[in-house]
Amino acid sequence: MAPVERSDEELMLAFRGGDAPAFSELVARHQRGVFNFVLRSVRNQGRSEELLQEVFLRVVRAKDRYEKTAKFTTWLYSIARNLCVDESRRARFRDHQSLDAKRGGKDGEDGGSMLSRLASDTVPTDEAAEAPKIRKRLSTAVDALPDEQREVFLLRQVSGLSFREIGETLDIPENTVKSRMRYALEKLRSQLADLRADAPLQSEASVEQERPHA
Amino acid sequence: MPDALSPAQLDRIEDALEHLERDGVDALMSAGEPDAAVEDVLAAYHSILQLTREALPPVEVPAGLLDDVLAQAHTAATAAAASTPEVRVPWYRRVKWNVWGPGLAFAATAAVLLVVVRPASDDASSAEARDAKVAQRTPASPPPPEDPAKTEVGDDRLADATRLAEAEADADADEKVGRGEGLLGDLDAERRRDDAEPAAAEDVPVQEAQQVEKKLSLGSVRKEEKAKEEDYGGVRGGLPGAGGGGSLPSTNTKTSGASGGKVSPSEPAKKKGGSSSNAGPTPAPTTSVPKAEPTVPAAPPPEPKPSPAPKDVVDDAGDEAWASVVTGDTRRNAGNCNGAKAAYQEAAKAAGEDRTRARALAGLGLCALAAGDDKGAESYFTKARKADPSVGSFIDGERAKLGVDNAANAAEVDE
Repeated sequence: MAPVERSDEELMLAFRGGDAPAFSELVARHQRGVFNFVLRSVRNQGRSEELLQEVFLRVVRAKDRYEKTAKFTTWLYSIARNLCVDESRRARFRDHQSLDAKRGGKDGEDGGSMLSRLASDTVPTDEAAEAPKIRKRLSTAVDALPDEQREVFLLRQVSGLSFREIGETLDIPENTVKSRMRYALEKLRSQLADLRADAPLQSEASVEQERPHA
Repeated sequence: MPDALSPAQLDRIEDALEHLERDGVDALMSAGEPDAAVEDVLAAYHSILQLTREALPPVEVPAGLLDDVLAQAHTAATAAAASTPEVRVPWYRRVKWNVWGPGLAFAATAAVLLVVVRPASDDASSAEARDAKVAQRTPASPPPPEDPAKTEVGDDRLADATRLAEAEADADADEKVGRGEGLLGDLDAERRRDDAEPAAAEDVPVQEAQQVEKKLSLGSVRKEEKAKEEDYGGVRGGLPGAGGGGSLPSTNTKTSGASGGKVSPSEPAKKKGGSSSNAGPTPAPTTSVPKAEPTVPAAPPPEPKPSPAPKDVVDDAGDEAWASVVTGDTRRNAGNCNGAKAAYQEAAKAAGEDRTRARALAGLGLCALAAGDDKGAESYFTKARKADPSVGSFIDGERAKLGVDNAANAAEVDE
């Protein structure tokens, strides 16, 4: 008979009571989701790794304040999101761009990052170059989403949180989460219409149509 | 799109978003009414989500990235475990139920036995106490206050005796004695009589009283007293009226008035209740006799009260025989069945009168019954009923009590 899997909350309480393996299990469960969310949010691998460490360190430090009434996932992603927001604010005031930051191209086109301009030891073929192109466009489209839509989209698509958990993490109503998700999808649809043969092109004005929520 | 989408359609799209990628458009659309516009939008969103998932594959966390964090967590957990006060398990939780449960059940059972069964046999620790208890439970005759008919008879007799005394009639002494037995059986009645008719009592000749006393100061009563002294290890006093008054309290009272009035209360033979109760109904000049006062310390041992004698048993032979019956009753009630048998046999031989003989035979039957000889007992009872059918009620009553005693003894034996 398989042992009953303890919930995140039980593990956290066990860790608070001195059970170190419980924390290891929590890390194993959530490190991937948190890391991808942070990575897609800050778009910097190194910084994302630091932030991931910081997220779990904060969990360790704040273990005594944790109450079982709070869902652990919500608590964990709230910490990660706050760190990402802080990081984004700091990045805006940096007087220099990182090497992998996007740079403007001619006539408003994406010029790529500084790293992408460096010499590569591999020669891309047409077929092999197609997939990265698509990924690049998608990544760019996601990055172009407004922050509030992007974080909802990332928490849902990258971290796999439910709309209710996203709402608790961001402290917004679930309906608002749904609306933001729809806006995000609509914007992506308009930007990636040429990638879908069956999808009609949509005007930017229709994407921006907002619907009031209660 | 969406100029044409109504708020309801937008709601439907938003509600479908959460499970769009998992369930697919067709599954979501089959749940409600078909709507081509909504279906198109959901299909477009589904494609976007799939493209996004392919374009943004999950990135693995570099190995060892969180080792330092885990080390810190281990340190913190160790510190937390060390700082956490040891939870002291109470002793009653450490002791397992399966260990002390049976002990508790045993103790509870013992307590129940002590509480429920023990009180019934508290006083049965010694044979003497048990015998006394048996004697208490099976009195030879019911106490007079419980027999209102008898009390009424006593009162009537009291009135008769008073009239006799006043008239100094020529009634013979036997009649007076016969009436006096019932009178003196009740001390209260005597007092009432003394209070009511002091003058009349004074008129009773001393000579007559002495004559009555002679007749009623029975040797048989003395025999009974002697037997009781033997039975109770010499504890004197408190003998009830052996002659059949039967209702005298255990405290000996100076009933010199009943025994002739001028007889000194200090005379031992007249101090004893048994003799006094037999002393006859002669209305005594109570003015010259002090009121009843106890001459023996209170709290005598419990004693059975013998049945009242038939009122017509007043002749000497009858007295002798009835005294033997009373002696037998006393011994039987005290558990001395052999002595009781001897007394009953003596009474049966001496009794010429049917009622006394019937009582003696009934006593023999009860002794046989107590010894377990049911056939012999029935034989005696049959003879007794032949001699006097009225003895049947006595037999039945005694048998019932004996049955109770046997049940009580059986319970003690079982215990």
